[in-house]
Amino acid sequence: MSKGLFLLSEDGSQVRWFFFSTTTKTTKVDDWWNSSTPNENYDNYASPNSGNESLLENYNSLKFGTSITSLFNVPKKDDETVTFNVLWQNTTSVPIRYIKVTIDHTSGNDYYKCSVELLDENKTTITGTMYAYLFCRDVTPQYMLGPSREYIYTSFTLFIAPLTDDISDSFMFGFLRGHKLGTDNETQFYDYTMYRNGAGKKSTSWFYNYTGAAYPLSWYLGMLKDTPSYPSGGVEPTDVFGGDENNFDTTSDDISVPSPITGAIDNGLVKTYLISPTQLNIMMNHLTDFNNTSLKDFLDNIAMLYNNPIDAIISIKKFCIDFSEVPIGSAQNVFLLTYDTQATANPITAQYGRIDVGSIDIAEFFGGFLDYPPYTRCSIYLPFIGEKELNVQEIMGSTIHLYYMVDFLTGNCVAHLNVEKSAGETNLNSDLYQWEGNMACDVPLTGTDFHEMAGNALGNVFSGISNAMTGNIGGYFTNLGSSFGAANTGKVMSGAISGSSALMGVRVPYIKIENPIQTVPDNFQDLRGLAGNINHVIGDLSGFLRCREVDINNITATDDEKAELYALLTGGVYV
Amino acid sequence: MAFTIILYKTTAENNRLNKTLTDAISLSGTLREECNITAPDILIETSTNIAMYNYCYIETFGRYYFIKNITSVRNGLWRISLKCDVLMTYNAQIKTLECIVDRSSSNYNALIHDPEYMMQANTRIRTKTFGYTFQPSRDAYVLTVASTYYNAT
Repeated sequence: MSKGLFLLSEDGSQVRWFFFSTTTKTTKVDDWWNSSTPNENYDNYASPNSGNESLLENYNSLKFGTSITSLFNVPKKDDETVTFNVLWQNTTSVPIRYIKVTIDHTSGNDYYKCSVELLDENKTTITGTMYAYLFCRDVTPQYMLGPSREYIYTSFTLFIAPLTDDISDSFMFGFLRGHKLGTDNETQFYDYTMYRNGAGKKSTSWFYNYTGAAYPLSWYLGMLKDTPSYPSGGVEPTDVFGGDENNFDTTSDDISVPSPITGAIDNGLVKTYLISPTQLNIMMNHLTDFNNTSLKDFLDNIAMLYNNPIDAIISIKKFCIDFSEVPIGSAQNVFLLTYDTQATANPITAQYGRIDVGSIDIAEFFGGFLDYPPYTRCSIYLPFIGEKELNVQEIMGSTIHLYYMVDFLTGNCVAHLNVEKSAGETNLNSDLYQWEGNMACDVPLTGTDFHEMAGNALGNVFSGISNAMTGNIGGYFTNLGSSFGAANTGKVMSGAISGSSALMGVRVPYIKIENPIQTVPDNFQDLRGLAGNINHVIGDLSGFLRCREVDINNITATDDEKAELYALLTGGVYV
Repeated sequence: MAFTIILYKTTAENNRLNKTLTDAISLSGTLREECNITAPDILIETSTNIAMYNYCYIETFGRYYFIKNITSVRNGLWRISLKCDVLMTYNAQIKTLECIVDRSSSNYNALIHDPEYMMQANTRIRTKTFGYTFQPSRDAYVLTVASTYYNAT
């Protein structure tokens, strides 16, 4: 895959470029501009590259972002071509000195991922409000292509122009990605309308002072339309359906989930710690040291409440999360009621925590009705919960964000799926789904059959997780069982071994999308056309046309001829 | 009635509005018999072999015609059976008509269910991850104990 980086002078007379083959390229803007070979005839780049370009398919999922590190995911395939450009404006006071570009192919999802970073003099990423603008002028949306998708025509590549006099301040920027002509070497689609699928409406905040050559920015802006774009006359009529009281309000209220404010931890009756196996062993050994007079006193005192000090341990749980994301306090001694166990641990300061799992852009694959029910189905797999069906109507063209709310006291978790969608008639930013599960694995504590339960728990659930953990805890439990087993009746403080199945299962959340595989002859669109339901003047159309209805009374033909005309137009003609 | 008929060859589909016409030859004569203007049979006397012509225009009638059949009556005399091509004849007027498009190659709504699309019995299944894995904590347990108010800090 070859990648190109272009810069065009403000008057459009000069262009600088380089190609690179590495994944990441960082270049200093001034050096680049001063040392590169000028080339006044940038139209040369209208010519197709020489063979090693990587070709792409499915133009539906170019992701637009307003961050300067915007990512553009382009599905890869070996049949098509795309050129995509990025425009941005630096609205910070920090001059741009370097551009860092990464174009990488991730084998996992078979996507190309492109990121752009602007760096300051110290090669530090410039943060702040940036307006990024993506256009792909040489891309024809897939649903507009011929059935064999042969009609791609790339007339020019891209242009980059400074947006102010300071070349390091802001400029247009582009990648060059190959070309492919239509099979008959002619442009087949003059409507190079670009769609920002899944990313909402086109920006209105963009401003631009480009005065150079090539096309004015307005020309590009004019090409970009909201997603999806209804052909003329194809929108819902406002005066037919729904009665006279319609307001066609397409706005939505955001539905969010408030964080739990207080929990059992906050009332002070229980306390939850993040404790290491070593400290846990120290604590338990201390609780079994019967030569310890303070323990004897403690046991005497708590006899009214509990049969043994272990009863004061409400639960020991193993969680399947990274605790670096959990709010914890500084290390302190662990107390059972008033008894200092001599073990130290970090108190978990909030009963509920939030685990951000990540986001996925759900882009249309076909760019048409096949992307929606009943043809396309989507489900989500949630560790600790299972596989759940998603409503494709709700998530198609959206960015879904998954997070778990976790109760560290019980191990209960609720997975939330936020759907952010601004496309067509839908504007959403809400938690539309939630599912309940339990992600904790309880370590059993009991006086009866303790060896067996501990052995099962450690052997089946935790084997392989931590050698140090199993060594220490296993050793402790053996001792604990010997000391207390005969003296106490069976009593389970925290019993069920829940969550162990989840620990042994898939722990990667993912979505599964099932698309149909369409079988369309090469010339289907030419010979049969595609569904319309649009008002149009026949002379403005081209190719195959089948009218659903047409008024031919204004034609000065005989009745028989009119009847024949009507039959022909409603049966299919070529305009 | 002075009569001019222009013969053409065309390879265009019959249901194409604007047909490409080639190899025009113009013949003049007189219409001597009654004639249906939408489906006439006309005798032509010419030394030109017109057997390969399939289209014509009759200026007097203001209509384009498909040549449905050609009969060689005798040497130099041909009978052609015509049928009016209403699409070509009224091409200009048709293009001004407003219609509701049912299907079109150029203007359509891709989100409308299209019953003419066919799909295979199998499907394309893709999975995409959120880029996150729930990893068991290797070195930590969550311990919950009974507490008292005064050390609940």
